[in-house]
Order: sequence, then structure tokens, then C-alpha cells
Amino acid sequence: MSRNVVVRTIDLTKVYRTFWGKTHVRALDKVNLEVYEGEIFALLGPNGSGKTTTMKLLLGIMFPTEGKVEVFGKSPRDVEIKKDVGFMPEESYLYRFLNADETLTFYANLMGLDRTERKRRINEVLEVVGLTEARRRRTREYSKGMSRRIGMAQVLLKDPKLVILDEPTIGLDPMGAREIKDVTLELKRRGKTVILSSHLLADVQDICDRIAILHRGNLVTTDSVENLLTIEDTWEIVVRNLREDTRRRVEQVIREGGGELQSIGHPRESLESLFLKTIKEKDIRG
Amino acid sequence: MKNIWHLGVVSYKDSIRKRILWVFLIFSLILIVFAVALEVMSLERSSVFDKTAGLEATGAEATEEKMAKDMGIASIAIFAVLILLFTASSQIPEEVEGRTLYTLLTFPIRRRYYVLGKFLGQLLVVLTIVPAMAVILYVALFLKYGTLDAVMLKGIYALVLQLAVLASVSVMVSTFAPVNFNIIFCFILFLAGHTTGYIGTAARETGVLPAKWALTLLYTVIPNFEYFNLSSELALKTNVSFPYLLSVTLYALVYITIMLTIAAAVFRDRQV
Repeated sequence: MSRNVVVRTIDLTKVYRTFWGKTHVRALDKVNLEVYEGEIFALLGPNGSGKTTTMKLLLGIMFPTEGKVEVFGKSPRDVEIKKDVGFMPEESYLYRFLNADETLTFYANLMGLDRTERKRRINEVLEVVGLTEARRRRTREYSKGMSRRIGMAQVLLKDPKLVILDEPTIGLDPMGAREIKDVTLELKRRGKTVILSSHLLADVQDICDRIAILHRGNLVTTDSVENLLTIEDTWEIVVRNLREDTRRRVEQVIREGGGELQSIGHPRESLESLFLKTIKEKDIRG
Repeated sequence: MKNIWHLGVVSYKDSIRKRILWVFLIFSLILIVFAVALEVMSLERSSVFDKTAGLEATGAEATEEKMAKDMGIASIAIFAVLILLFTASSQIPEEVEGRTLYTLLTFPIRRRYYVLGKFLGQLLVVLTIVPAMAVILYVALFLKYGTLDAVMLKGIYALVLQLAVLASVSVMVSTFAPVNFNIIFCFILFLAGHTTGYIGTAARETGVLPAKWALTLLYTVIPNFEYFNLSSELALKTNVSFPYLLSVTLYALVYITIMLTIAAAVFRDRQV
């Protein structure tokens, strides 16, 4: 089944040079990537691997030394395609003297939205990110989570086809991170394409379809999460209400079949789901 | 094009809230009032004007008024320049460092509109602070001498044009240079711009060819801020002709256009 390519990089290379033109850092080296419409795609890698450089090249705020970037088949420097690309940076760098309303009004004006549409969208996105009550507070008074939500709000304001998120959950508490992940999944549900970079692997594993791993500017691997993480020669069976004697018989069948029993025991809930469940129950009880 | 206005307004709001602007503004207002209130002349008053012509001012009082106006206008000019240097020079570097520029450039705005918006913001700052200081000067002069000088208004206009030229240079420099360099460079340029006459004379009189070329180049490139200086006309209450004001305006427009064109060209390829 052919899929529309939203982003394509061809031998993408970025070299940072010193003032005298000498090579200082080879941030990206002949990276070839394709991102398809409607997927959530993650760029993974340690610090300095080239994730942020890749994002800046996709956004057209940095330019390749060699190779090419195409977004919707065009150069990311093309002003027209910027209407279809939304970006949430790692830190929500905001004009701290403006409140949320003024910030979003400013960005909506840059989008060329008329007054009615502007008001409608601002009210809508503030509702989605949960900042309606705090809309008149100056952004310098915002917590990290609130700043990140405003960052997400300006992305949603655009209603873009492609959303680029740089470390979207970093620095957030589990609830804040969950909210961002839920919004990301909602974006996918609405047919948007999402590219995110992260080094919080658990968060990526939760929501991404495909990942690319970068290391020192090189693309090490790229594939679906399913393919990369599935251990082919190992099976996992999850059973409820298993009697002890049945469990022993299952173990025996496995051993007789030549299988190597790796582990058997009670599965563990993730710490994230326990935390969220506990907080939610506390909120309900009051 | 509307984006230029929106960017300009945000740039203006960002500048006008800076504490250093208000510190300079308050000092300038104190100095303006002080300049007018101070009794400069303590000599015996001697008549300069022909009394039979019906003029009431004595020579000493007329000189006092002239000096008060000079000091007032000079205060406005110096403080307006200082305010402008600190606000204009930091606009683009602060957005790069603060990374608000990252988000901004992902919106559908042309880079040259961003530069024009920054310039517009600084122009709005000039159009806020200069009239504010001018009103105080006018009120102070009226209370002291009972006069409202129309020629001074033209001087204020010429000052605004001068500051607009300086703002365009600062915005241009801020597309590639850090804040400190920008402030120092523009301040030196402001001083040099008031000495272009000497540079021109030196260029004509020198016999050393490389020096002649260098001085001629400097004379051409450095904005001639003396062109905007109407203090002698103010002092003598000489009317400033409309053609002169038009030529000053055209000079300013051409210089600003060149600066902003360079700024747009540099910023087009600026990587952040």
C-alpha cells in the first residue's frame, strides 16, 4: 500500500564550521529519512546525536550543508508550506510580557485569521490545553507545564498537517506528560503527521509508530516500533484466574515441547499508570 | 504586510516595558525641566534689539531662552539616542537567545517582514518618547517664557528622522552582531555622523590617494546627522523652509531603505 510521503531527506548533511571555515562539528552525515502521512514518527538519540539539528532543518530555520529536505514536496523555506507545519520547541519560548490570550492572538494574526475565526480558534485551543482560566495571566507567571501547554496551543491554533514536537514531555510530571501524549494521539486520530524527538524512551514507546535512531549524526536504524521491539523467538502469554495446578501443567508442557521457560510470575503495572490511577482516585475522593 | 504591523506592535511592547527606557526617560525629563528653569545669565541685561521696533525681550533673556531650547533639544536627542540604542540593538539578538525566534520563523511570515516589523517597533518607540519629551519641553518653555515656537516643532521632526535613520542602522547591525557591539558601533556612528563635515573637508584636502578614497568612502557611507540638526535655526528663530524639510526627509528615507535592504538580505540567510 503506497503511502504519501510528508517529509523526505536525501543525503542530509549539516556541518558546523568555525569562523575561519574549518569543520567544527559534523552534526548530520548523509541522513536519509521518510516520514509518512498520518504516522507518529520519533527521532531518538543521545544528546548531540543530531535530533534538534534535524528538526531545525525540517523547519527551514537552518539550512543543509549538503543534501536536501522536502516537506510536502517543497523546500521547508517556502513560506506557503509553513501554514501546514506546526512546531512546539523543547522549551516554550514565549514573549513573557504577554498573557496567553495576547500570545495566541499575535500568532493568529500572523496566520492571517480574521477576527471571528481567530476568537473561535483561540477559545477552542485554550479549552483543549486547559488554560481557559489562566488566559489573562502573563506567561512569565506560568509553570513549566503551563508554558508547554501554551506551546501546544500555538501549534493547535494553526491546525497544521504536520506537527513537529521537540522533547515534548521533558521536564513534565507524569500527568503533564500523559496529557501531551494524549494530545499527540488525538492529532494522529485527526489525520495529522507527527514527528517528535525525545530521549525519554518509555514515552516514545507508548505512542510512536516508527522510530529513527541517530548517533553522532548518523542514522543507525529506522523501522516500526513493532518490528524493532518484538523479540521473535520469545512468547508472552498473559492469563487471569489461573489455578496453581494448571500453572504447573503449563510449565510442564513448555518444557516437554523444548521451550526454555524464561520467567513466570505476576506482571507488574507500570509506575506511570499506578501514579495516574492514584492521583485520579484521590481527586475523586477529595 | 499586516504581519509587519503585528510584529512591530509586539516589538514596541517589548521595548517600551524595559526599565532602562523609563530610567532614561525620567532623567531626560528632569534635565529638560532643569535646563529651562535654570537662570543661566547672571550678567546685567543689555538691549540687543531695537526697542523702537517694539520688541520686549532683552538680549540676556533672548540668549537664556535660546540656551534653554538648545539644552532642551540636546537632552531630548541624547536620551532618545541612548534609549534607542538599548532597545533597538537587543531586539533580534534577544529573540535568538530567548529562542522566541524559533517559533516565530515557523509561521508563514517572510523574513524581510520580520526585519521591517522590528524597525517599525523601534520607530513607534521613537514616536512615543520624543513627543513625550517635546511636550514637557514646550510646557516648560511656555511657563517660563510664554512662547510657543513653531520652528522648534520642525527641529523635533528632524530629530525624529535622525533617530529613524539610527534605528535602521541598529536593526541592520542586530541581524548579525551581538548587543554590545551594536550599542558601541551605533553610538560611535552617531558621534561620527555629526562630524561628516570634517571628514569631507579632510577627503578634499588630503593628497594621499588611499586616504582620500577611504575618507570619501566614510563621508559617503556615514549618515550625515548634521543635516538633521536645526539648532542654529532654532536659536535664531529662522524659518526652516519646506524644501529643506523635504530634502531631509528624502535623505532619511533613502538611507533607511538602504539599511533595511541590507538587513533583509543578511537575515534571509541567517541560521538560528
